[in-house]
Amino acid sequence: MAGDGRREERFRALFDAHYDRVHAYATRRAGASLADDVAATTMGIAWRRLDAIDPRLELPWLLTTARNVVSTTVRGEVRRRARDAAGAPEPGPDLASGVVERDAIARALATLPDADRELLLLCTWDDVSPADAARVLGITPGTARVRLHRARRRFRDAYGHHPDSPGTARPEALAIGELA
Amino acid sequence: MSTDPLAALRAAAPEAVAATAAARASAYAAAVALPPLDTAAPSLRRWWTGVVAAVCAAVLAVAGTAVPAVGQASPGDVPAVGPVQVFTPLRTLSLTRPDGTVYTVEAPSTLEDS
Repeated sequence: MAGDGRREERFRALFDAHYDRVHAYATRRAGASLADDVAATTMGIAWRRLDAIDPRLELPWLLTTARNVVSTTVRGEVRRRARDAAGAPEPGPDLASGVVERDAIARALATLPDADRELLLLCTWDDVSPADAARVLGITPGTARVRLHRARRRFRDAYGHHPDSPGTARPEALAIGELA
Repeated sequence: MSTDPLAALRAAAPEAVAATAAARASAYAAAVALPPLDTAAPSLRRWWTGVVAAVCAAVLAVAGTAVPAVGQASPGDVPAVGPVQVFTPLRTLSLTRPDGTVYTVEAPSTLEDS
């Protein structure tokens, strides 16, 4: 039918325009091993709910969905690894491997509340505008700006904080399942 | 350590591994193989919600018009009434003072007046 053709045409355009960014997001949040699955699942949901996606807000919609998929997938992965008692803990997101500041960054990120950390990473790692990040997190742009400012300040403070101080989060907190 | 924490964070972004062509094609094929969700058609849950709401509205409407309430009185019961109050129109009385001047007052009429 003509309607089906138009639907697939629109999905093809959406897929071509955003698949790589969704995949990159999934790689950073869930690790390379899960990125293909997360991106494919996200695109499958997008196809099924294509009529509900505002054409002007496709990327925020996809990232919101990918975030939820990552959360679900990572939780399942954590459970699976817990069952495999022999499995050694693996730093899920390939966070700054080989970079001297890795521990300091991981500790500083771990001190942020989940929503603030996600907002900071969306804007810093994924080049998402604060307005789109607000849509991803379901908050108003004004709130996003305030939280982003606060998150940056807290990150700076925590980054300069001595790593062995009491109350400082351990970098392992950023293992897979914690960051997403 | 870097003196600019945010620059360090930006530099520490994990490398996004580009999706392979095979993964990309597979993701597309898997997506379009799924049945589209028809968001225009009301779901079964919405139907149920509508039916339950309609039944509740009908029950409340019927219950609201039942006087006396169902099960609390028989058709032969007489509704209780309070003491009867009879309202009578005012009447004008002409009275004479001891000095002979006449004045009028208004007083409620009595049943005997009628």
